[in-house]
Amino acid sequence: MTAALVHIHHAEAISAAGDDLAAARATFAAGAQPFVVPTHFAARGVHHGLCAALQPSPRESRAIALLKRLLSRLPAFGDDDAIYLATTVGAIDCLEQNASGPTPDCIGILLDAVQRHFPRCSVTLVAAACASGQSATAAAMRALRGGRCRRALVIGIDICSEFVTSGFVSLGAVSRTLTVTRPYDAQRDGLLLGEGAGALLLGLDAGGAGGTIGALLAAGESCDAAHITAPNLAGEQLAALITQTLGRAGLRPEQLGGIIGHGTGTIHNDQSELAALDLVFAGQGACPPLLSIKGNTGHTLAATGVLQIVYGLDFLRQGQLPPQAGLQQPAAGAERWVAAQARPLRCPRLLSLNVGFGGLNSALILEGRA
Amino acid sequence: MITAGVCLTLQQAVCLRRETLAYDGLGELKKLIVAAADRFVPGDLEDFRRACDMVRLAQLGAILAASDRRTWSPAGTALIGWNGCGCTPANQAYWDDYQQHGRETGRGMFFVPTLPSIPVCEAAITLHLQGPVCYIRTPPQTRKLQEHLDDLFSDDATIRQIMLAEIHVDHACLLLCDRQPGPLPDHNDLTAVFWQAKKDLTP
Repeated sequence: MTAALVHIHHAEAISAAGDDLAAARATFAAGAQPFVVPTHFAARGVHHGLCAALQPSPRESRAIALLKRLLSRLPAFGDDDAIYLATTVGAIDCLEQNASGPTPDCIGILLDAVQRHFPRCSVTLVAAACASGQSATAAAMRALRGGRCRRALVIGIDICSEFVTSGFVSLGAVSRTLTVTRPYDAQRDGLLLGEGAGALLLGLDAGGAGGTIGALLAAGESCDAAHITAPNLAGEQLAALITQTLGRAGLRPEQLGGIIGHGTGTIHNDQSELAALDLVFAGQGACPPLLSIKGNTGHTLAATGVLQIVYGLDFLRQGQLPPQAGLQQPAAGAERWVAAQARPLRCPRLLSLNVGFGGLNSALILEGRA
Repeated sequence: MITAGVCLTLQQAVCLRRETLAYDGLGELKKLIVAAADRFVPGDLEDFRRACDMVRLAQLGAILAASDRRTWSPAGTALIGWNGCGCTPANQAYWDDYQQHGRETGRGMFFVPTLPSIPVCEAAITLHLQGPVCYIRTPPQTRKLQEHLDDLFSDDATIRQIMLAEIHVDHACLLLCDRQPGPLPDHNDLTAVFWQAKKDLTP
């Protein structure tokens, strides 16, 4: 038996792809890569490369400023509603600026800011590394189905910072080109970071003043339980999760219109993801088109899962996936999945994937509305 | 609902059902566990040596909590980290190390634990738990955690049990909960839940 539909009533996204959906649509359509040299932090020896930064440094925390921009766009929210906040390191710039004194609780600072904005709502922080955005969405779906709230707001947010950028450089995960990231490409060599914030307002009722702009059919989460940073290159756990999630939605693989992959542009992430998709779609003739938004937005960490859903709804409205930004020559085996041109969706349903450190996997299926 | 559990510090591990272990540091606790392999469930401790204490508490606590259960199987086990001190100490450790190196290079061994989900992911790797794994922070009321447990159980029939972990810098509490009805007692942290459960078990 499939679970109740979770309707999406409102969606917002802020990323380097665009300050609003219209601007982002143009960025995606052009396959543009709006990466710039970061000006809000500098380090002497670390070559940070470009990133998808959104604004100059504000007086207050950059993370808090971004959160406020997002919150200012959201509709009114009731007292019996619940909020799920996804972030990896929160207001990490508060630590960077902290010359002395006690260590700031950076995720707590962001959580408290959300709680202050919605003082009577229940706020839960969900952290599952780079799968946090979809993990928070899955938690919100469960809460709605469990009758714990009338509506649920999911927020995904992370910033570009010296802390995170130097960390990813230390892991060898950042593109050595420092200027371009190429998800699913034969020449891919790493990610570029981005910052972003996204929000989804969810409910079980399809009605209401704003109606519905889409629906979440099913979500699933699992853990490779194999390595703290490296994914399972054979993609078995992720493939099993996708199959399980399709089953929970009552769908077969051929009933997907397209896929928004995690697609960081690192050698191992993309290889693992493509292997998983090959397992799920083994024996299928034509594959649904695959896209990573990180070619346009950079890797926005916990925000990416929410942004994938928000932008995915817009792709569903257009009936096509935009060109894969940064793609020159598809990686071996990726030819059947990705393209440098826009491609039509064969039906109004998308699979969205997140993976994160710790071997965390997340799959989510969304459906468009006319 | 609670079937097993452990409260451990850097010197002592009190199990819900089994005997208390005393040791001098987590390295010695690991040696105790490895030396008495027939008394503990097997665990992958490959990452132990380079891990910080929060990760070590999660890894060893997971083995002890699983071993405290009468029969253990990792199948269908989810793992939720709840509250505790999150990633604040790890953030400071990475940033201090980065600054001490002239802000020229970070070190991955310090960067990876800056995610609050890392201790529970390491625990999942240790026991090979492939269910959902994440860290959540709610107001410090176990009824808030209970909601997540109930939602997870009702949403996914393949989940047979959930391991809860509250990890601090120098102590941790891990509890195993199964699908049997019965709410967590109302407390502000898992340690208080553990001691109430321990008291209830005492004849």
